Amino acid sequence: MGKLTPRYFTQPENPSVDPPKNSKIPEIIQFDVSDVKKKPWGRRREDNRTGKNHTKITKKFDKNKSIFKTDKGERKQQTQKKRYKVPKEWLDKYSKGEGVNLKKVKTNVHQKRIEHKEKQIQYATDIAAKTEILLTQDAGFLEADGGETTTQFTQKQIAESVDITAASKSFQLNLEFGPYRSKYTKNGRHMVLGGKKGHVAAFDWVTKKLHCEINVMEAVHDVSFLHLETMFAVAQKDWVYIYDNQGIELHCVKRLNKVSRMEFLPYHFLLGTCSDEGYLSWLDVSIGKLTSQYNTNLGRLSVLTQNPWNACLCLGHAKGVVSMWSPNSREPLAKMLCHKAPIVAAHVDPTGMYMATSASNRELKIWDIRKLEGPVQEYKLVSAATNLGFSQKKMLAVGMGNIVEVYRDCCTEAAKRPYLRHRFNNPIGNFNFCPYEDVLGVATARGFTSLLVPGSGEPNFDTYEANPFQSKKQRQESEVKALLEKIQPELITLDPTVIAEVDVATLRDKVDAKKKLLYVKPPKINYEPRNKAKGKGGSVKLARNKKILREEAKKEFIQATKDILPEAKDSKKKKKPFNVLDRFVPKKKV
Amino acid sequence: MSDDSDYQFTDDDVDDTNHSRIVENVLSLNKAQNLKRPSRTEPTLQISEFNLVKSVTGQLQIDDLTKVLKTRKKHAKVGEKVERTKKKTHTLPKPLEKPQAERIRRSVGYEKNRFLFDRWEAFVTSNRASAHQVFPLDSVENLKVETKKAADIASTWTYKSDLQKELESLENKVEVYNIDENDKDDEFPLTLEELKEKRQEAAKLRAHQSYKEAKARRQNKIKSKKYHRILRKERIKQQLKEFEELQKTNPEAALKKLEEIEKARALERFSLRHKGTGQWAKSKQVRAKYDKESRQVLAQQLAISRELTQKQKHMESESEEEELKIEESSSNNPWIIKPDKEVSEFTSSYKQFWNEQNKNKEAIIQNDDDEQDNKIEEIVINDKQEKVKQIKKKVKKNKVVPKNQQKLNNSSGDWDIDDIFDQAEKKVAEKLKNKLAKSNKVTNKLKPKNKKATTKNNKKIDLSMPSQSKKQIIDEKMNETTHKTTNNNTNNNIDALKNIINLDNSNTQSNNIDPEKFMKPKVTNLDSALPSLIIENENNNNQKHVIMEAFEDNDIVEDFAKDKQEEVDQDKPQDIDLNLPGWGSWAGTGIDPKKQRKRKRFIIKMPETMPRRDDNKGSLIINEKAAAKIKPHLVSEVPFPFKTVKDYEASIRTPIGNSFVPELAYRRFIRPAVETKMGAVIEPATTSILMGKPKK
Repeated sequence: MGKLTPRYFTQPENPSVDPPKNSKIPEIIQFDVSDVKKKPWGRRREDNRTGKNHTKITKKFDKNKSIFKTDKGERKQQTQKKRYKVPKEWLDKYSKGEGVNLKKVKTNVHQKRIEHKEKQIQYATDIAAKTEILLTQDAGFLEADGGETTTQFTQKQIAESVDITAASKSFQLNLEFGPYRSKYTKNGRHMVLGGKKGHVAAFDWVTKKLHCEINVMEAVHDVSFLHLETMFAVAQKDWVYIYDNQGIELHCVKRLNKVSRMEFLPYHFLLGTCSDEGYLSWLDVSIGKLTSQYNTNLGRLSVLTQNPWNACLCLGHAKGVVSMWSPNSREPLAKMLCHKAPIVAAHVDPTGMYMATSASNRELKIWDIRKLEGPVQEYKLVSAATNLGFSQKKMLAVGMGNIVEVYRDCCTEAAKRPYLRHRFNNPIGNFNFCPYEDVLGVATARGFTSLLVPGSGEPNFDTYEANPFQSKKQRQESEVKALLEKIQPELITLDPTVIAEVDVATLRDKVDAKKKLLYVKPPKINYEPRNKAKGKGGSVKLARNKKILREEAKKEFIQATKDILPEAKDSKKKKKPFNVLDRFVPKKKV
Repeated sequence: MSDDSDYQFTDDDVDDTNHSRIVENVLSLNKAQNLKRPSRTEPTLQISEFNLVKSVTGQLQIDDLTKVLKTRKKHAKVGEKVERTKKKTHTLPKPLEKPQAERIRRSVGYEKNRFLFDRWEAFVTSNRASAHQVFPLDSVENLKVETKKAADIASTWTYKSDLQKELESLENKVEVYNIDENDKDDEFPLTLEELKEKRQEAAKLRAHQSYKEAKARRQNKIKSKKYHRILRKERIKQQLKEFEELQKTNPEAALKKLEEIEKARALERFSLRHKGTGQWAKSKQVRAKYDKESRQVLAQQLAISRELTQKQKHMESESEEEELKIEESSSNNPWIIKPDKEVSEFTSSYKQFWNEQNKNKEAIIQNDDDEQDNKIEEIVINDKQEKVKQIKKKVKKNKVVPKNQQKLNNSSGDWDIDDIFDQAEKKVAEKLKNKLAKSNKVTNKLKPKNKKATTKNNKKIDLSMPSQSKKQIIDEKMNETTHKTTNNNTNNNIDALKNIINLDNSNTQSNNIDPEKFMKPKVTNLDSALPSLIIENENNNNQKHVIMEAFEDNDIVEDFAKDKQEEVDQDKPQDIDLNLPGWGSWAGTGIDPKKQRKRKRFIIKMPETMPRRDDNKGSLIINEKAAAKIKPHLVSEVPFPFKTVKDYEASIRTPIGNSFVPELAYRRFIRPAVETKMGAVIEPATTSILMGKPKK
């Protein structure tokens, strides 16, 4: 025998209340009548109501529905499977914010659809939060014994104590062609070096495999990879040149004249440059067009950095001001007075939260760049910092003359002493933290040194985003994908989330304009009657025609305005309460 | 005239039928034209509306037939019946005009078919609302409904062998709890038929419930006192009847019922609702106006009631409280030496024991007294009817007797038949008590849950506070409408004004406090090393530093402030002067141009407050014009299903690309709305998918 379907009219068994069997008292079904909803009127309403109930029931039976598809045993397993409970912090981390208020969505069908979408979003955040489990790698750090400080540790000691692959990442290149500058690719696998005296080299620094090495026979001011390791730009004496990874000159961009610094914006495919003559320009690498170029009127520009969060270029000026620029406006989006002395270096951390600036008066300040507030921290150095660089884990490298110091927690709390320190024999050209590696690449006047900074890089990488172990095929795929997902330069603003907002001001304007339409007078049309033959239509007829046409136009206009206004429609629909005298009104024919 | 003979007719020659027709025709020449009345020759079900017979006075009437019946007494009844039917019958109305009839037919047809189509409504809406659909649809015929395999289940049972049983008996028994609640449901899935049945039953229940609700609501609305009185009386009667029946059938239950009734009565009396409603009190009240005595009596009664209803303080509880206080204070007070745990435990338990002992003793004494009293009373009022009441009282009092006392009684050894009965009753009463206590426990358990629920509700209410940050809107009206003759400059200004008005004033808090002044972090001197290479020109550098630090700040900060002021001024819209040059500016002696107040009318004033994002941030200039350049890329309308901007923004808050969300979620996001099987014929949906039965 199968399971009995439960009877709804059976009463709960309660021995103390159980009526005797042989009494003639009729069974009393008790219902809770204290909180009863008012019965809706009308057939439709009733249908809706019952429809709601239907949905409830179907929900109940959903379990059974799956029976049709899956085997019983399987289902049991499903029910018994314990779900991993995601910690709330993770959920909060990936939360997309408050959802849609379903009550404020028109029509039931759309409510259902949006509800479904909300569920999917919830699912997305859940799954994203769950992937945190997969991030097994932790950022390491140096731990000093009692009486020691991490500052004492030399590179040699660190290299000796780490494993062989990590130790191989610490190396030194002795080169002769003048103060060098270097840059890594987005995935941190490749590096390009540019010496002042014309030496340009690109290589895979992990395997030490050289892509190309040339001497451009001109002064080199800056180098930068484009979106991939296959191309890099070199700011030479006059113009910017683009080479491929074999050292073949692809382009010479003469419109980028006397460039001092370059920054590549990977999501916009823009090569931002600033020149000695005060020009700021953005070159769209994907279409080979100069997006915009203008004079900042701020004199020589030599401090340039990008804000990865909103893709603005930040310039440091001699008047202690950091200005932020987008290709859309000839004036800076914002100007911050950071120091009371000329700014020497600036850098924004990869998450776009903090900006570090240093000035010639030996100050070092950390700013909250999202709110454009600060300083969050203020430091005084022994000598002015000529170079600054944030790592992915928010370590700050400070370069002063021939010294590099790395500070660990310098943004949220005031750091006391450096985490690591390294002294070179030559002054520093520039340095960059290598993404996804615990490495700081320092280009000096006489070569390049790769320093190990434990805990500086992001240990878990997203291969969709940047893959250090990319194969050729993957590189090609990612290039296509990146091109498809290219963000237009028009969208560079201070607050990148603006794009997900509604332009309320314009909306209000539109609504106002619509409202105003109601009170606009219908235009008077000028009707010029045809000259007719004599005897066909006198002046009276002409006048009448004119009048008729005007009235028609007026009617049309009024109708049009009514159609525009939704409120007017609504007011029409509203039924008046039945008046006593309404019974005498002739019924409308349908 | 041989032809004459031809004209002579013989009777033989005349055709009968022809002749009669001629005769008829001739006869009818004088009368009005007579259509031959259609006559029914055969009985048919279908009667043409054109063949309906018009009743003619000369025709046979039913009366004529029934007259005969009246004469005989035997047939009188039949005659009456015929008469009655005759009264009821009336001629059919004229058939409606064709368009009207059609209209009615259509409307009826519509009504019928509407219900047919309404069956589809749920299906259609669910399809519309669903984010993705798969075609062809799974029809019910194709669904594999699992049949119940009772035989299979029986086959899974196995007999235990004797050895097995023995082994099991040897093993330590471990109670195994099966907590899987879902198992029950899983055993036998519902078939489609059962599902339908279940649904139907649910619908029935719902209908029943709604009917009950409606009835209850209707009854609740009745205000008539009389109605309620009658209702109450009926109820009481019903209860009495039940009670009597119970007494006969099930005395135990009856006893319980009685108790319940009495308790209800006690509760009712206890509620002070019937304070002044007794006959005695009423009569006194009536008299109170004139009679002093009755007034006094009433006052006395009131005083008594007040005395009785006042809260009494428990002496024991007070002492306990004191103890608690001492304990608390001792926990805080280091000077008080705390007694050891063991000691305190001992004392507390001893106290408990002492209290219990005392209570028991008191109870025993009281009960003894009561019994004695009762006995005496029995003797005194043996004959009267009140005796019954007394016995009842006794029963009640005995209920309070604790078990100890029972034993005492037993040990004393004076056995009586009455006592035996009493004891039996006691047992019953105790059982009942226990049950009552249990039920009370249950209700008590339920109560806190309810409380929780209410608290939850409260919380919910708190949460539902409008979290939407209300954006302030500057709605200051201009002093005057714009004039047609405004030049370009003024137009620009008006645009600026619009900008102000439309500005998102989310950060309008115009407290002119520079947060930097308060949140300035301390300058920390970093323990950094001196670079060795720059030391070469140290002296030079040092001098530079000294000079720079001396002259630092001032000009840089001032410059920046100036810049900011310029920027602010540029963005600030100026008042629009609509004065025509020369208009009203009369020159001459004794005319003061300043006094001409009419001029003011033509100046449109701009609202003064102009919130900027960088308003109270001294070291920041934000270019608001540049920020406005993104506007053409923004959505400036709230599209259809949304009513508010906030909701629309919430709907587009999450990206769906696989570089932003995990792959699984991404696949769900981009799942197509309609999926079709390649090559499969998509049949239209049939009624077999619908759940309900068609309405007839």
